[in-house]
Amino acid sequence: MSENEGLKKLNREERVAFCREVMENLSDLVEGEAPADFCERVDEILGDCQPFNAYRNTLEATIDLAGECGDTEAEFAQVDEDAFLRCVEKVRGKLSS
Amino acid sequence: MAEMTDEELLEAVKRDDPGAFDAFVDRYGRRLMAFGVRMCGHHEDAEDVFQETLLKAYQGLKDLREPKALRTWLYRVAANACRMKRRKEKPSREISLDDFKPAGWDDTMTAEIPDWSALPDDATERAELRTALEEEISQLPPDYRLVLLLRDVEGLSTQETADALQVRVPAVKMRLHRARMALRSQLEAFHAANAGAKPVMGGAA
Repeated sequence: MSENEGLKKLNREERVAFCREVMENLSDLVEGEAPADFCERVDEILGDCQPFNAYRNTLEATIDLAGECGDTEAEFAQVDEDAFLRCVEKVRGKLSS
Repeated sequence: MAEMTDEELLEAVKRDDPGAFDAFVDRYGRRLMAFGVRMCGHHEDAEDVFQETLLKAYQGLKDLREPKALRTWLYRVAANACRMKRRKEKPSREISLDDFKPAGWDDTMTAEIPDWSALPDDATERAELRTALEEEISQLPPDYRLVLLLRDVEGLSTQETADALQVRVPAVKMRLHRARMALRSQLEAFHAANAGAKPVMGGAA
């Protein structure tokens, strides 16, 4: 994504197409689900690309942070306990009627 | 009953054991309500969705044959309840990857991008960041929010998310990726806005 050594090997159209492909597959790259040959190509072309590395790192951090929102404490902070108990009692009533 | 496995819990429900409902609520209730709150945005709708989910889930548990699929099945019930609640709303808007192209992309001369990936160790700052993320999640279009909540927040696999939402895996992956890109972009803006005031996020400013 920047003017680095790897990207200089590609012409302009190839660069734009390659960067678009990377952009579309960044989640797979971060999660290790991208095909090995694609990963190798990304490392070869964008290994020293600051914007790419920063983009990938911050996407990874975003995913990690979203995962933290699923931790029990963060999850339960979403729940109004009085409302929760009220709902449970309503459902209990419907189930027993 | 709190220590029961899902298999034992299902058996208890099928036998109508005393306390089975409470054990089910204790294990999954708050998580399902939190999911409803995150999907619906406001508490009144979330309470309706939670009640509907709890009622249908508990009634349907007796017919569930595969205990290992319990969590995925519960989220399917919850997602359907959310969809029913939203059925009169406008269709979900689409997120385009073009919205997240770094400046200079077309010239392949992108400027440096701040790397704020070192998240703060301080618990208060970290919680502040999560709160900002929660706010951004609530702003995602519903179809994207559903996928992101199930996959990244609740921790379902891609296949489980597809099963829960009854959509194909490529559709899950596409929505998930765009939702993540949208959140990354918003967190970057949050970082930029806070960088001058205080170092909310770690790493380079």
